[in-house]
Amino acid sequence: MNVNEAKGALDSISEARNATVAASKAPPGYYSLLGLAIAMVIVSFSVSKGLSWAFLAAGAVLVVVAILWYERSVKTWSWGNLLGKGSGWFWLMTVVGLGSIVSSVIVREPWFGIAAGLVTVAVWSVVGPLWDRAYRAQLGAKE
Amino acid sequence: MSVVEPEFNEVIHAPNRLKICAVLNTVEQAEFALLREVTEVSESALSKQVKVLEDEGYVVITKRPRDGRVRTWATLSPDGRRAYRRHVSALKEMVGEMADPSG
Repeated sequence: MNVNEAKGALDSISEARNATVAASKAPPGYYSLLGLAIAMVIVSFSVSKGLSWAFLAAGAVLVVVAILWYERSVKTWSWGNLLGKGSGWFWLMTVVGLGSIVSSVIVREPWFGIAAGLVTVAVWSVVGPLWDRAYRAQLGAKE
Repeated sequence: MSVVEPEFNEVIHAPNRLKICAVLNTVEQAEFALLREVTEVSESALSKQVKVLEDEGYVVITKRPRDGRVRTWATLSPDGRRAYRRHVSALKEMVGEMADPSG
């Protein structure tokens, strides 16, 4: 094997890696849908018992729909970027989501649940794609 | 940073098998559909290439049902990942790059 053949092989590796990174992108709106699912759970703690179950069920259904949607759209699977560069976006989403759930359990007021739910949807809609981009950047940096 | 011993690997070096390994080294698992897109070969040709890697113990195949069809996923085994990284290291050595295994 000569140097040019080795270079060609390395180039084909780069192309394959780039295609893999592109195929790993979450579908548009995926994180908004997940945020909405969490918002349903948040609101479920702030409403009457009958409505509470309905919101909880809706949240669970949305989570399943989101996962199935992701599975159909993305042809790869990998552990998310939880500790590397850009992983702060994930932890921000987690803190906002869990914080909203915990605070709505404590406050148990409909206005608060709705407000916390809206904040969660907004944060997940904006921050989710940023985390997804950081995740793909991390995949692309692998040798 | 760990050092990977360069080692040229004839099994991995075949063009389509090299691309398959490059995909699988990037993620934990990849669906066959993506491997087909990247290699641009027919399903049967892809299956043959993957089978060679599977027989070497480099790739693990799993099948999962979805939408009434069975989808095939491929994973690089620890041996496969090691062999692939050694091979890339050997290629880099040939072109004069520093063999940096961790990227």
